[in-house]
Amino acid sequence: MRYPLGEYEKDSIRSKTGKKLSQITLDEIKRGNVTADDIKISKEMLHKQGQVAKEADNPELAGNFERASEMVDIPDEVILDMYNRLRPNRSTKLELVTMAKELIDNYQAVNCAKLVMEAAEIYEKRGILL
Amino acid sequence: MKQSKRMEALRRRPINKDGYINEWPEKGFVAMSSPYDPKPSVKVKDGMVVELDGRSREEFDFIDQFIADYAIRVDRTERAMAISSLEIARKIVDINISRKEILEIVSGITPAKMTEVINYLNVVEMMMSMQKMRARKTPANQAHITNLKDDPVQIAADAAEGALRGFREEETTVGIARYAPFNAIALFIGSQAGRKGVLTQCAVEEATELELGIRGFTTYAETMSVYGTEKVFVDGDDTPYSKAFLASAYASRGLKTRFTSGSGSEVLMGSAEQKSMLYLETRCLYVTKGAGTQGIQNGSVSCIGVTASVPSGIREIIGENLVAALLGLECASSNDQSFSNSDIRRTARTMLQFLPGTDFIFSGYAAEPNYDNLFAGSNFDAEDFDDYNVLQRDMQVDGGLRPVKEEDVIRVRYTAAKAVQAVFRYLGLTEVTDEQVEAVTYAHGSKDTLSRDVVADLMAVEDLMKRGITGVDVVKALAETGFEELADSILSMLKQRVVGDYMQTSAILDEEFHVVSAVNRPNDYMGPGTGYRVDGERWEEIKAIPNIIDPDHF
Repeated sequence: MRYPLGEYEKDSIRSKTGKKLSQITLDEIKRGNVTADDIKISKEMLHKQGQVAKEADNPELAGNFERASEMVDIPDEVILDMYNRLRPNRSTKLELVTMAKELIDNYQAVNCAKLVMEAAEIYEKRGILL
Repeated sequence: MKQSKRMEALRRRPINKDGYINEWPEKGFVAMSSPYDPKPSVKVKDGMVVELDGRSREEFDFIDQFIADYAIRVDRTERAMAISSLEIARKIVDINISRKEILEIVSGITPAKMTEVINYLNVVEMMMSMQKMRARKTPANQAHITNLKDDPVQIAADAAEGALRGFREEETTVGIARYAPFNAIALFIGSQAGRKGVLTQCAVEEATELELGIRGFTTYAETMSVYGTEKVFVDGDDTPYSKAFLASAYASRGLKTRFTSGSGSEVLMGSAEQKSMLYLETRCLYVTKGAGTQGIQNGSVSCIGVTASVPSGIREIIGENLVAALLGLECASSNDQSFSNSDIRRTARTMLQFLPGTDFIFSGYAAEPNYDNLFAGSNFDAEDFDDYNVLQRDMQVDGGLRPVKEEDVIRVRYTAAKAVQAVFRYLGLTEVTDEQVEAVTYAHGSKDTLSRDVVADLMAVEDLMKRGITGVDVVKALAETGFEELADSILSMLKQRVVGDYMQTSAILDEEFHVVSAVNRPNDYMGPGTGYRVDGERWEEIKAIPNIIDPDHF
């Protein structure tokens, strides 16, 4: 794998919907064959970018990309709602634990769930739960 | 007392209109080091940090805990903490020790240790360190693109001119919040009309900003604030955990992001917990690092009034920029909010980032006259363009900008305005008249432009959002109205989010949309003859200011 992937791995890159980069062109847009979803990033690409970050000795950035790859399939409004519920004094401990379970059960988002569970613990200790 | 005329003349100087206060650590008015700052310490047990800067895990607040679990390399910390702070400071300045080696050491030290290290450095040493530690090999610059009327046509024209002048990122915001989608679209179009590959963002409330990004109206986000004390973090309605979650949400939609922090915010918000501004900002930067965000906008930013008022405040600002670089973060190093009445002082303040170069020297140079700057004015504005270009030329320094020709400015402003006119017409939005295009093309600021029908604009914005218009529709609109090249540029920008290369540390795009980041173009400075040197084409560009005396005219 060689970075920038857009230059060295161009032919293997696919968008969230499986479109190749070479299929995302002006002509295709004019024909109405490209939707907004076609220009979204895929889980695989985020995973690969995570590898790039790891190789650059940045495991924190890699961790972020891992969580992001888990979020690819979570709908926009669900993500925003979860974010809001993670803010201080918005949720009970049970609500946060339930959210973590949702992340695992519905989206296999184990790293996101771990973050939420840790938040539930420390929020309880610091008194910022409902 | 009989008054001295000398003293009277001095009293009238702009510098004496600025506000200054003495150190008052109990209220957090202390730049670099407070007697109440914790002493550095770390303890690791079973692969977990159980003590951080004098606090045991049981005593951790949520910032301590997040830093302990996410921002410190457990495998490196004991070894790194065993090196004295003075020795680390010397290594950072030492040209024979590489950036990579420094990053490894620093990834194991705690915030209190980092604060101690920075305190050993004077400003010149900090600049030398920044020259070596800046993430990307080449520096760049970012502009603010706003106006008092929230006029999208002027946004587009100013964005085009800004891009032409060299800015690689452009940021807008709005006076009336509901204008945001219009201005984000106009900024996106305008930027590419000036010079290809410029990244753009619209700084608004979190949920809206994310939506604009998801829709493909912006390419990066910067306005995610983090704070150095728990109380202020909660007042800011977030925690390190919620912000880390939000950062991943952005990445999951293929958007480049950086966080925002800056010294003085905790003082302003009344809960500095007696700590120095540098220590609290260092905590912010560790949270940023731990959240896995690639970079930060910092350097006191909008709280500079506080930091600049205390002794060594301006030194603290380059100090906190340096902490960001030491943590391997991209640093957009502030220089944005205006803070001084004195031209000497505001220029001196900027030299600390300008001379060594940072990833983005300004995290908002006002590319419009300051009266149009909705971020409360910037330290440099459109009227300083020529001064800035001459400073680059005088010192052979790359400040990220370049001189331009009037005909080129007019041409790109006109193209940008016409393109917005065409897109608005194609998408059935509010009308942009030829008179408005003309006025904006030749304007300096919104005092020279026509007024828009705000009510009609806001109705059109609402309609645009309801219809689910996205970046793809903008590309189509441009392609169908004769702006093929511009359409292609916008599409190339949108395709970045499919690839994600530009989400790596300190990434910008060149004019062929190639990613230039700390991964493929890391800073490799190791003293004279190494690193980035201003030469070749770029030096020719910097030299070519317009008002040069022609020897034939002697």
